[in-house]
Amino acid sequence: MTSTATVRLHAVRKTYGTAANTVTALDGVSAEFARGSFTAVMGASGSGKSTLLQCAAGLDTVDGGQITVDGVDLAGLSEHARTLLRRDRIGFVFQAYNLVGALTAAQNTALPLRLARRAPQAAAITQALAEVGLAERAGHYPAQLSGGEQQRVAIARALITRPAVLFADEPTGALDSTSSAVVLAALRRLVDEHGQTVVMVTHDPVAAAAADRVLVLADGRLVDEITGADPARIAARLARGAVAA
Amino acid sequence: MIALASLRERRRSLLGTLLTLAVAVAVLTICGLLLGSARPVTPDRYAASPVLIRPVPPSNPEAFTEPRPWPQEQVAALTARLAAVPGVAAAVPVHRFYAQLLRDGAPVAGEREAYNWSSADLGGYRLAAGRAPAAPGEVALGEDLGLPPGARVELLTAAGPEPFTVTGTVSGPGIWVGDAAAGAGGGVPVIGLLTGADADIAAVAAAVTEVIGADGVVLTGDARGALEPVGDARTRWIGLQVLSALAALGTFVSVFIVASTFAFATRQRHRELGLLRLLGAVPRQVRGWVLGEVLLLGLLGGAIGVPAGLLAAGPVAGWLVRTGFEPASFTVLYQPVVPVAALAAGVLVALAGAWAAARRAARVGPLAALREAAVDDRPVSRVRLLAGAVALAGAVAVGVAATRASGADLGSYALYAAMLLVVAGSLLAPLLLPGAVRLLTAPFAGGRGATVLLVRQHVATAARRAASAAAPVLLCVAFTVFIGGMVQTTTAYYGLNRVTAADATAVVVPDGTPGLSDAAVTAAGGLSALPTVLYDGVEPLPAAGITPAEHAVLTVAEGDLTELHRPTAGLPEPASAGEQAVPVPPTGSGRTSSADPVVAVAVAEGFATSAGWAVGSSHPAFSPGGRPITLEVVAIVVDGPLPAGILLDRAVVRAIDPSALTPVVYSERLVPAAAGLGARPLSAAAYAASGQDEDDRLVWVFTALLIGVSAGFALLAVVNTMLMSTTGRAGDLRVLKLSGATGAQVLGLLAAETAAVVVTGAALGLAVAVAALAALAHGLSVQLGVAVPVVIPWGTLAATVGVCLVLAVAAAMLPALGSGRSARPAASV
Repeated sequence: MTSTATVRLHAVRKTYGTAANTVTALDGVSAEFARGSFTAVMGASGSGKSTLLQCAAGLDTVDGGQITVDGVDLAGLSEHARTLLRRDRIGFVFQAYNLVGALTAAQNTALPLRLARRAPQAAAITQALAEVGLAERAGHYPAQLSGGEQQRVAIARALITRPAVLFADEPTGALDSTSSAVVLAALRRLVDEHGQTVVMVTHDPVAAAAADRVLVLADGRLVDEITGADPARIAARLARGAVAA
Repeated sequence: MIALASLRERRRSLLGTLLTLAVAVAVLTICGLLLGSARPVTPDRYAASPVLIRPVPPSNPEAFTEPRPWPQEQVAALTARLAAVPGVAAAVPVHRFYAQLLRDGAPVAGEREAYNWSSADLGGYRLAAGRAPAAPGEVALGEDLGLPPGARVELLTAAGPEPFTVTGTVSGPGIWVGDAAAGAGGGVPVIGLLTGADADIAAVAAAVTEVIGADGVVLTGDARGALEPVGDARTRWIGLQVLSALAALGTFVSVFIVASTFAFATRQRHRELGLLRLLGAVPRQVRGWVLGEVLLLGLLGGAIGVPAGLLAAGPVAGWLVRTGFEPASFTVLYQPVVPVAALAAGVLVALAGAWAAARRAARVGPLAALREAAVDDRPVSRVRLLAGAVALAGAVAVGVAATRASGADLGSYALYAAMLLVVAGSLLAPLLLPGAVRLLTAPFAGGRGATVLLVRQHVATAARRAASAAAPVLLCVAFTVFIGGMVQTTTAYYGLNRVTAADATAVVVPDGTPGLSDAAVTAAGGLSALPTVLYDGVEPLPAAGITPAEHAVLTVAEGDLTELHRPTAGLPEPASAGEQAVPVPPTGSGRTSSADPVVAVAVAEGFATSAGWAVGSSHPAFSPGGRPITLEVVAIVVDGPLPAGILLDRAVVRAIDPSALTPVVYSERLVPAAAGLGARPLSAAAYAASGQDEDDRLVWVFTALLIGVSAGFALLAVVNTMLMSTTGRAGDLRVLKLSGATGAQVLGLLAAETAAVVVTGAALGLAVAVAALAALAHGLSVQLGVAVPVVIPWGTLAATVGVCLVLAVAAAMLPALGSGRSARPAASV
């Protein structure tokens, strides 16, 4: 398969629940995320957007279809192999900042390297923190940082392994608008200056507007694709989609 | 780094575990040091003799009886052969008999035996003043007694008080009489060799072993400790039981507590572990962290526990000696291997305890980081269910084994059954708890308040968390009730039997003496038995002498009891220590049964059955002095509270065992104490109720010790788990407050939930204890042929549950009270 896409989904199906009471979370979703692109995935609660992200990131298994990340087919990988793939090729940012409370910002940032038993280089960590504007907060514990700062530490941590793709699940969901703007700007800069591939799940049109492209999910299907839009247009398209669906 | 950082972060919640491990290591250090130190010590009185020979001991050292001594006539030949060995300067036979100095009519504590003067050389003792005792009625005393030569003294012997004249004082402690007087009647328990200063001890010992052959055992160096008094050996054995039980219980309880604490901690860290998995940690790494953390904790606990144990060993040893668990000669040997082993054991205990938790932690998936974990997805894993079932089956098997076990094994089996039941109970608790709590709270369920609803729902949805919290309570209640109940169940039975036999209203017991002299028995004028030990080969046969008066309390099954008191030919006349022994024809070590005195005996039914003895049958045996005798069975008596399995005429016992003493006299009225006999009258009720009995007192101290250690550990765990539980639920509680609960309501809910868990855990613990006690009682009744009721120590139970409740509720509420001020966001996740 010769594709420049970093992440490819082909006819991905995912169902939850028992045979009698099945919920189809993803119903034949196909999508490509090109290298250096910034994509937002939107949709109402239960539309399957988080499931899409979890499956694409190899956190969850699929019931049908094919997913490749950085040229690696996720199907047939053992849990151990998927763990290594996540560690080396994929970065994560979540709504809950998910920092380890016992570690400083710098230690949290270096954590994926330590988990991979690679010696963390002080310069690389400082740079990663500098990229999210937190170079001077390296020695602080999560408890001493604001929500936006914690989220930016989480982004720095996600970047430390120079992953092929960064998955973000509602990264601004718990933040006020000012902090959100700083976090989104940080993500945007990563794409523009470092060619980072970013896939972001969000329900916030303002956040989605930071992306190059918006994919809209409804009932486990891809229903719309918006490019280069501002928040108002995105909100309008979403509302229309919701009415249509 | 992660393990270290995590330890630092969670230091408060791990404090309890650390403390548990430190205490466990300290207990193991103390027990290890003391167990290693508990070795026989060569008595001072033999210190100057490098080679000692004693008769072949019985095969079971736990019989705690003296080996069958050599009869005097054999000793003459033996010493002659020994003295001829090159390097041996002298072979000195030891004679001894019961004697205690009376001062102002009261027996003096300390020396309880008189020895022949020539054996003073074996201790290197010399005359300090005066001359050696030689004639009957002469005695030399240790100069520490402060009685100068020429003083008139009274010695209490097995016959009664006898007048003596002090002829000299000696540089060592002891009571010495002339060799002829000391040799009267009894056998020789020890022959000591004196060698030249430059003799090669090993060569002498080898040559002596050759000479002595199968007639004795040659002891040199530390092995000479085998000659310690039998009482010391028995005391040390009791100490060994106490220390081993403490070490075993301490280890079990700490493994249990580490296991439940870490299971708890792992569940609370579910999200954190999921996050690490999300960031690329492989399961092996997660397992490594948990175990690494525990390893550090174990080492830290050891670093605290080992010095604490080393410091405490000395005082504890002193206490054990004072209490009577170790003989007075006991001193602590500080062997370097013990602290190292205790440290290693502490680490192993920690690792064993956390093993299951580490496995579970490794199974946490990366998605756990994205989920709230309020609801346990599967309350009981299959492995846990299986392990619980195995433990339960094991408990049943051990319980069944207990009903067939005998003596001391019975108690151990019952304890193992209790341990396994505790494990099974805690493993299966998540299955049992929700139902039990529903049952418990059912009477309040109709109310409109939110508390009962929340308590029921919390326990039902977080069954494993509730089970972790209930586990230490289960352990605490199970062990305190079991140990307390075990002692009460057994002593209730034995105590019942102690007095009723003679249907007596009063007793006379020894006062400051190891037993009653004949004079004291005569003065008391009741029923009694004179115990002694016969030998079948080298094996002891407990026996007792009775008079026709005692027939009243015996039931004859077969034969004629009066035959017991027929004249016996060929026995020495009862001789007091002051008289010359009646010469007995030498018989050597071989059996010449036709010439042996024939002694009439009555035997208990049980003994007759197991030994195959019948009325009219004759059996070769040896007297307490080591002479061959023939026992002829004249009667079989019904089993019951008999003084011994073999009964003889009392006069025969006195003749063959000049040092035999009477343990107790039963009489129909309270007689005033005869002065100067070392005896004390007691009413029967006072005797039955009193803890005067030395064994009873030891058992109670032992019980208190075991209960203290297990309850102490368990309460530590109760507090620790509750603190962790509430700290981990800060988010939950905040939600409740946001939903409109007042601070008081939140605290009330916590208290109610904790109380429900504690009471349920206690109920499970009680069930465990009752099951183990039932096995014990059944075993006892099978053994004794009498129905033994299970005694449940309600007072202990109430106290234990009360203390658990107060501590658990306080510990659960403490973090909630402080949470208003705490700004740790970790608690909000």
